[in-house]
Amino acid sequence: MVEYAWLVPLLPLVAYVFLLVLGRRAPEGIVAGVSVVLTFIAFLVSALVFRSVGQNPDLTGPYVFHWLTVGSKSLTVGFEVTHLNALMLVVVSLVSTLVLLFSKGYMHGDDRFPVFYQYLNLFVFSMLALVISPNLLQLYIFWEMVGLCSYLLVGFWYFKPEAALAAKKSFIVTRIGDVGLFVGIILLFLASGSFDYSTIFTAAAAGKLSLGWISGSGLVTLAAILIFVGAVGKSAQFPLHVWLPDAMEGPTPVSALIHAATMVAAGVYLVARCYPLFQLSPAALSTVAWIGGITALLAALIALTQRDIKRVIAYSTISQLGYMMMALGVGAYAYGVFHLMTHAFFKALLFLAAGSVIHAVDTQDLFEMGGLYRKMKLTAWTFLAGALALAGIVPFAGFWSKDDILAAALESGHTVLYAFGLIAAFCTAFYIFRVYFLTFTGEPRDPERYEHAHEGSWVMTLPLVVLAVLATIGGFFNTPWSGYGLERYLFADSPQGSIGVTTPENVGLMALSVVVGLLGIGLAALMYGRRRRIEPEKLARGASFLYQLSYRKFYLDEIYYFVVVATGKAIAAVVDFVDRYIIDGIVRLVGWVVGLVGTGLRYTQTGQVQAYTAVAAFGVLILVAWAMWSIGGVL
Amino acid sequence: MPTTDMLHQPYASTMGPLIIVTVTAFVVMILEFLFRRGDRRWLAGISLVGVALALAAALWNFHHDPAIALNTVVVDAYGSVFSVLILISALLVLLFTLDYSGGTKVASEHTYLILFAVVGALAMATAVDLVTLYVGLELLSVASYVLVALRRHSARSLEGGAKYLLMGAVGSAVLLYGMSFVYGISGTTNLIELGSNGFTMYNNYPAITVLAFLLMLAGMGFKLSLVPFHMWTPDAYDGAPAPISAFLATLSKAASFGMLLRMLLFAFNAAATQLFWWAGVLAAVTMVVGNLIALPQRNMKRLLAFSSVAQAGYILVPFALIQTSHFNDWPGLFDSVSFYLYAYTFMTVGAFAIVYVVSRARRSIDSDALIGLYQRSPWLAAALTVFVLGLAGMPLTGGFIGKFYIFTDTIHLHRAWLGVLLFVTSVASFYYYLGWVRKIFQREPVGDIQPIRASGTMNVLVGLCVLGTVVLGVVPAVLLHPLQGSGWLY
Repeated sequence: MVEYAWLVPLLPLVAYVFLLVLGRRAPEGIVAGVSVVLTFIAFLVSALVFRSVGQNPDLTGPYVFHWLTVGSKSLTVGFEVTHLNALMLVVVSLVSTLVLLFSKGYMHGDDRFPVFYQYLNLFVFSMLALVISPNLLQLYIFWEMVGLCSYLLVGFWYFKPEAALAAKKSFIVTRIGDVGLFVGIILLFLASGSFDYSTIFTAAAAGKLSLGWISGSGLVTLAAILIFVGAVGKSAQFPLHVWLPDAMEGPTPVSALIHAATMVAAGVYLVARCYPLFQLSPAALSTVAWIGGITALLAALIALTQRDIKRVIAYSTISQLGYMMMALGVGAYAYGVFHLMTHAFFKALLFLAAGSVIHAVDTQDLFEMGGLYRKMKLTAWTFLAGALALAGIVPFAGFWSKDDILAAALESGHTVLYAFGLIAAFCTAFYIFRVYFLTFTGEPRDPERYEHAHEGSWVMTLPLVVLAVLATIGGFFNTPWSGYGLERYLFADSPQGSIGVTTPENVGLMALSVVVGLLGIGLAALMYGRRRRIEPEKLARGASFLYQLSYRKFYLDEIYYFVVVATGKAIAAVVDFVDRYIIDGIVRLVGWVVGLVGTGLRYTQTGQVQAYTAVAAFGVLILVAWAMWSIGGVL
Repeated sequence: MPTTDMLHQPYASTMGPLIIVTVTAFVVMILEFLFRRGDRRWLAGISLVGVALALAAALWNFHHDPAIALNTVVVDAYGSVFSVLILISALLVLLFTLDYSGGTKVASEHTYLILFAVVGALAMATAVDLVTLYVGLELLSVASYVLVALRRHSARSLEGGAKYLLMGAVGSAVLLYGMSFVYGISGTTNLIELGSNGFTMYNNYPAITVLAFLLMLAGMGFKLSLVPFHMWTPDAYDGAPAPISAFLATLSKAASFGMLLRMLLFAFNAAATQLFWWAGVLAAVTMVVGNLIALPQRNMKRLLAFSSVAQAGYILVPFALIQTSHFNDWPGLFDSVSFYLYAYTFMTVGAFAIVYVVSRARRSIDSDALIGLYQRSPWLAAALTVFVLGLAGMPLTGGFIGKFYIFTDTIHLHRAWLGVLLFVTSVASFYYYLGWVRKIFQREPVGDIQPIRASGTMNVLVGLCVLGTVVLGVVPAVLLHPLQGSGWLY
């Protein structure tokens, strides 16, 4: 089955081309139907691939064919299936199928409905192709393509100025990371002569990577950190996290698919895929760990006070991606991947449930909602499942993966990071239940919106139910009761028997995590629940400075704006002057001269065959005379 | 050679495609004579079948070990690569004529004339004797002169034909003059023999060898429309029926490049370091002048003519690199030449086809006729965009990969200045190629928008050309190393 893994990305591509041919006036039913069915088949194929990789670890490829020769280096394209990306294929294609189904209801009636599905299919194709790329160059191409799709989809409602701006911002900020990634890839290519993962990793492990100006181990660290810079941009890690909340201007299914479950996880996937390289460099690993830890805490603090339901969940995504990076950084490879999987389920669920709410009340402001449980029981229950998973309450999916990460951080001696993680966990439980209470309980704050609210059709509720089930039981995949299935699966193709570290279950730490989570929920209940004991407004005024710090997102946007944009404008003014008056002048002069010469030459084309022959004969004559002169005579 | 030996030569492999096309040509000629009334496009159908059979035979030859018949005609990977290209372009051109003769009053002899030209071209790709090569060239040329002047009632067609005939005759004379020097100092016209004792030739008579080299290069330069032997090109392309312009730009050039490379490699390889840089001089002049003079062109066929001049300059660059290369690099250089020619063939035939459709529908050959093409026919607009972007050398088209390979060759073989010149002139060519693209997507300011419809055969032709252009750009590996392994050259 593994040799047919190329079918997985191909099917969404077929859907994309098909929709492109159908054009912009295609009926919604056909558009959505074709997309969902083809992606679902892709999911079935990935599931089969997943199974057969588990049974037959030797068949994983890479399957490549020759593409280009640059100098003496031969470049290949193709695909490979490893245990890691087989898992990714299943997760991505499953969430994609559900989101494509959900969008049928959410985007119903939009003028550009078929275009939306075109973009989504293109994205699914690019994401799946990214996952099964067997070399860094191919990965980079699809890395840029998912970025492009993200740009198109965030700016889908381009007539809203905020959406257009957000699309631009997300594209530019991630590009900063991409530059790092690109430089890293080129460095590795120069040092190893190949883009293939296996070649690079083998060379790195044997200490054979070298360039003239840097030591072997320095090169590994530099390349790993540059790759991580790419991951920081894509996975919205501090300090490049600012684009993700703004990207919430896109339609909510987009947020669920791209900005929660798949594309933003690509950064984590990249680090996981390049893990052999990172393991060689303690410095790079601890950079990953610290950036991850800081991001987890910072984003959780910001999420405490946001008013926009999607922004809260967006900061939550940043924070959870931080956990994954932290896991990889402290060496807990399997737990990072485990959290990536559970997070994909419960975060897509939370976004889709939020989408269902937004669809019903047509606002994203938490303080215009309230009491929706009575109108939307299913959405409320599924949201609750997602929230419990996110808050890390036993036995929901997020509990197992997050607790593993925290335990691994403590075990590996990163006490500070453990503390960061624990504080972030408390904040997580608080902010997500703040959202839950404000949205679903209490009295409606905007009666008019409340009146119109209603549950969506089955296309919207079915994905919610499926994801809610996964968010509830998905964690058992890697527990003692399943014999640590995920770890066994991921480690099966590793010669050492394991990658990174694993920690035994620690009931004490587990209990502590749950208690912290429950405390967070309790505080949220006290402040926003039915019988409120603490007035949030008073608290905000009491700790005005801290509140403002969180609400204003630590002023990072303002600082960036000032530093980056102001400096940029100054440089731009100088460049503009040079370009406008100097370069442009030269270009215009060259253009003018060339045009003149061309027109002049045109007049040689007289139409007289005598002239043609004369020119030709003259040409032969000059050549011969020149040759005779240079060779020094005829005899 | 005893008669019994003559019976036991590998004729089928060396001359199989050639014989098939010859027989087809005679059959078509006789049928053409017998059936003088009605729609005779089925004759072109027979020709297509014959050429397709020959193509199959030529492809089959890739499995054949190199062999020689009568000391004159060989089968080797080199010849097969060019034979296949010649036959593919013949197929495309015949498809093109199918539509052309249906829509325009034109003398119907063109079908078998094209086939005889193909016979000549195949001989140029596979022969290893100067005399045979020359006969092949003349067979191709004479047929071409008639083909250009085929619109007997059009003054421009006759004028183009006459100019091409005169200039072609001069070219042939120069080429023959060069060949006669080679024969004079070596006593043989056989390339195999020349190849094995080339050293003595240059060491004993350096000046005459240089002279012979230059004359042969210049003589072929007329056929290839290298600057300064190019001046007949726009007149002939403009006057000739559109399919014949495409034929001159692709099939005729491919055969001439094949013949030139084989001839020069065999006859002059021993003195490569002294001689081949002259090809660099011609390549440089051709790239610069061809691109500059194309800039102000408004007539679409003339622009394509100058563009083909410039493209010939690019293809000549690897010839100059033979000077600094080792024998082992030759297959690589040959790859660059043949790859570019394949890509160039698809792009050029496609561009001529669409120019023909558009100019007939709009009754104008001026490039302004392209304005609003995207509204009139999105498919033709997209296809033409692919072709001109390919000719300009944009990525994802075969044109890009072709230029990229020639460029890396120049760096690799220490002639970077040629690579830089190729790059700079390509950038200049963007001006006129993108000028077309701009007009294609410009909205028609006045008048109604009549959709332009191409016939079925035309759509098939354009589709094939788009496919070829894009496939070569995306998966160049299909055609990158046809010569890997031994025995590429007999």
